[in-house]
Parts: sequence; C-alpha cells; structure tokens
Amino acid sequence: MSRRAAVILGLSALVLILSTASLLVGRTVLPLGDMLARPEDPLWAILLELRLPRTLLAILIGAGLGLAGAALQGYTRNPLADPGVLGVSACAALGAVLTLWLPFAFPLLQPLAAMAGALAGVGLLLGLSGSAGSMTVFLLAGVVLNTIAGAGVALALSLAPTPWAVNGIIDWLMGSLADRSLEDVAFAGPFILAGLVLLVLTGRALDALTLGESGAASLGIDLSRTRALLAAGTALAVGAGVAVAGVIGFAGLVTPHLLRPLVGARPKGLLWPSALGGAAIVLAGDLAVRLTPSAAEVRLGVAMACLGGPFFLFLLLSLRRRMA
Amino acid sequence: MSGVLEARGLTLKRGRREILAGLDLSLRAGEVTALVGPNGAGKSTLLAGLCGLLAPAAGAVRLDGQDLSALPPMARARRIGFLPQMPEIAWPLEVRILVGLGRTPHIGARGLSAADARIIDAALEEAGAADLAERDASTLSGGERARVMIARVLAGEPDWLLADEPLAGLDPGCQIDAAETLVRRARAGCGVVLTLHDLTLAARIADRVLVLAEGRLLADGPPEVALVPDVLARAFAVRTALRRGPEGASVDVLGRA
Repeated sequence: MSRRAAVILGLSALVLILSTASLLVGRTVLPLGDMLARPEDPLWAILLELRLPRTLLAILIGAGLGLAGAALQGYTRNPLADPGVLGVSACAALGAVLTLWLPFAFPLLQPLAAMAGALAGVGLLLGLSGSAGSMTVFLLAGVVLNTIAGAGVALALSLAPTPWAVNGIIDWLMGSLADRSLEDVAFAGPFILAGLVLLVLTGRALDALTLGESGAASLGIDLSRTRALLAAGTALAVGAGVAVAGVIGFAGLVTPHLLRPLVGARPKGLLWPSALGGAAIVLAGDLAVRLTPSAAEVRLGVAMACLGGPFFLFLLLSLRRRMA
Repeated sequence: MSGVLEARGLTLKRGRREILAGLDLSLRAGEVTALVGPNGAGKSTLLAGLCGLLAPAAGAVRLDGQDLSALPPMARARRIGFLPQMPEIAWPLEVRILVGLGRTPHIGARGLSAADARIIDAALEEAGAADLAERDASTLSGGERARVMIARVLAGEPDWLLADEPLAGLDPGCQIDAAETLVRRARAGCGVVLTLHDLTLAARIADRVLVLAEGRLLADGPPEVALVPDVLARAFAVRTALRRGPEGASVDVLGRA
C-alpha cells in the first residue's frame, strides 16, 4: 500500500471515530448500548435531530473547506491561500447579509445569496490577481476582498433594520453548527458534494501548474477551464457551507499544511486527504466547543479563528525563515 | 516523426504591442535550429507562437500542414514539447514526479502506467539526471535543475522540442551536457528549436541559425551563412569574427560596431 493510501485510510478511520464521538459526546453523553436496546428511548431524538445534522454538516463543511484550501493553494502555488484568508468566505457572508435588505424573500434566498457571494468573491479574486500568479498580488487581492466584504457586513450591521437582523448577521460572522437541522444538511449537502467533484476535477491541472502557467499550458492544460472549475467548485463548497453554518475559517489553510509532510506536496495527491483532514478538523473543533465548560457555547468560527490565527503566524514565520 | 513546422505571415502581439509581423519560416524535423538575436528581438514570443501558447494576431503556424490553432491543446502538447525560460518549480516534489509531469498530455485522467514509468526512467537517463530521481526538486543546483527540466520535456516524447534559453546560466560543462542531449534528440528525428545568447554555442550545435532583430528575420541558414559579421552587426550592433577551426566554428565578439 502506498503512503498516500495509508494516510487516506488513517484519515477515514479518524473521521469515523470523531463522527461517532460527535454523535455521542456533548453536554449529555448518550449511552448507545442502552439506547440500542430501547428503540423508543427519547435520547434517540437528541441523537437524530440535534447531533446527527451537526455531525453531517461538520463532515461536509470541513471537507469543502479542506479541499477548497488545497485546490486554491495548488492553483496559486501559494501556501497561504485559503477561502477565509482570500476573502471568499467573507464575500459569502456578505451575500447572505445583503438579503436582509431585499424587498422579497423565499426559503432558499439567503443560502443562494451566500453561494452567489462566494462565486463573486472567487471571480473577483481571479480577476484582480490576473494571470500574474504572483503570491503578493494574489494575497493583496484577498486583502482587498476581505476589506470590502468586511466593510459591507459592518455597514449592514450598523444599518440593521431590526435587532433580530443584528443577531442574524452576528450568526453569519461567528459560524456555528449548533441547532442545525436535517433540512440544512439536505440543502447544503448536494451543493457541497457538487463543489467537491468540481474541485477534484482540477487535480491534473493543479499538478501541471507546479511548472507555472506557461509550463502547464505547454502540457495541454486549458487554464480557462481550470479557473472556471476552481471558481465554481469553491463557490459551491464554501458558499453552501457558509450558507448553513456561517464563516468557519482556517480549516482550508491548516489542513493541506498538516498533510504535506505525510502525503507529499503534489497538489493532486493532496486533494482527497485534505477533504478528509478538513472534515476531521471541523469535527474535532465542533467537539471541542461543545465540551468547553462555559455558560454559553463558544462559536465554532471563533474557536477555529483562535486556533488558526497562531497557526497562520507560525506559517508566516516559517516562510520568512525559508525566504531568508 | 513529423516533418515540418512552419509559420506563414505570422504576426504575434503581446497585449497591443506587435512583436513580430508577417514572418515566414519553415523548420524541419531532425535539425537543431538556433534562434539568436538581441534582448527584446522577439525570440521568446516566436517560440511561444510556434508551440501554440500565443495565438497569432494574423497568419498561422502549421504543423505538417495542419493549422496549430485547430489542434486540441492536449493533441498539440503531445506533438510539441516546450521548455520555458527559467522554468518554475512551485512545490518541493521528488524529481521523478516532476519529470512525470511531462507525461501529462499522454495519460488523460488515468495515472501513470508501467510503460509511462519506463519512459520517465529513460528520459532521466537520457538527460543525465537518473542519479537525481529521488531528490527533492527544490534542492537542485542550477545545472541539476536544467538536466531535470530537459528530462521533463523529453518524457513527453514530443516530435518537436522548443526550448527558451535552456543553456542560460549553466557552467560550460553543464552547457555541453545539456546541448549534447538536445542534439542527440534531433539526430533521432526530433525537431529541436532553441533560443540562445551564446553565438559560439549556436555555431557549434545548430544545423541552422535564425537571426532575429526588432521582430524581423535578418538571416536564416547554416551557421557559416547566418552568423557572419555583417548580419551580427545589424542585429547586435557589435563587431564580430567568425572563425573555423578543427573543433568547429566560433564567433568572437570584438567590440561595439
């Protein structure tokens, strides 16, 4: 068995273990053995209606973030790329928040607007950075996007039409998997899965891009198609996640970095492991916020930012050492 | 092996700037063609146009009579291998994996087969890079990197091999090794087109030299015809002497014209 296959197997086992823990462990620990003996036990309601959607969303959203992070890093040849760092998640949140001012509403309006925001974000990112492929230009484009989307959300917050709207906006910003339902899973799941498929299709092009844009084009890679797949895949995978859980940052940044020493740096080889690794990280983060002894549950997005911020700093320092 | 790569009325632009206008030339497989000229003459642009990476603003590039722009990118990449100037290696990949990227146009969505692995090993051997196969590509020296990148393009088994300054920045020994690898490929029937700054190297290894200046072709022929003082004075504004010795021709640059 290759090393990569062993890592994929190990990560699958980890996701399975964390999923089981996510279903059973929380403020109340569910006694699965007793419950299996009593199908009418009311604890089944906690497991199926509260815990199961949360677990499934953690897997889907984590996989989307991990895979989008690996694909964005592969495309940009930039180890600091991530949907959160590059402003794609913030654009998705802005898309969702802007619907509060629309004169009409329908059930899927907000999630669809989040995905449209993510698509606009990736489109702007690729447009602003052009074909230069420079790490600096790409990161600056991300800074611009984050600033614009952040300003838009702040404006929305200060002009919020009702106090409920303020709470809604804060929900988008902080990101959480608490109190989600199977309807949320049914809505986001197909979009995230479609996004994962589109992103995986970029694998061969991402490998070839190791040789730069002209190197990849000379190997027959259609760069326009690659950009379209990347934009649509990221918009679906990240946008649908933000649509149901708000902004959860840094999983896309951290996951490929943790996995490169294990599976190697080949971008295509990193895609599926990053999806599994992202799922494991978000599952673990969500378990941690549930078990944190505090009066109110710490928001997952906040917890991930607390862990991801120092990691980002560590990455910057190690990049600086390498470039010195 | 294919026969002819030709440009007919080829006009190439970078943005709005016209770099080459109405160029006609015909290259033959089995030959080493050196493209020389001063900085900014349009050599890299011409190479990009000849391998289909830059679409003509007017005219056409034809491969065995077929318009290159009508070929699907993968089909074109199977026929024409291109080595960019100062090729990027973005990730610290193992050299064998990096060289394996040369098989991209051949493998489609499937992974590398045992036959592909044999071709990669042969390319590493041919480029004198077999001993580097297990190395991390980000740790290679300039000479090692040049050998590996040549192996990468050889692994694609192209009918035409176009390389932009493949020998630049290499010490004389590494230049000779890399040049011999490319000449061997040409003798095996591949069409090899190189941009070069070293006129003596061009005189020694090329069967044919194209001298380009300000987007126009000043000379096209064997080294002893193309690298004459008159042509080089017009192209580079320098005085030169073309000498013929037992080891082949050499071009001495004597000073500004």
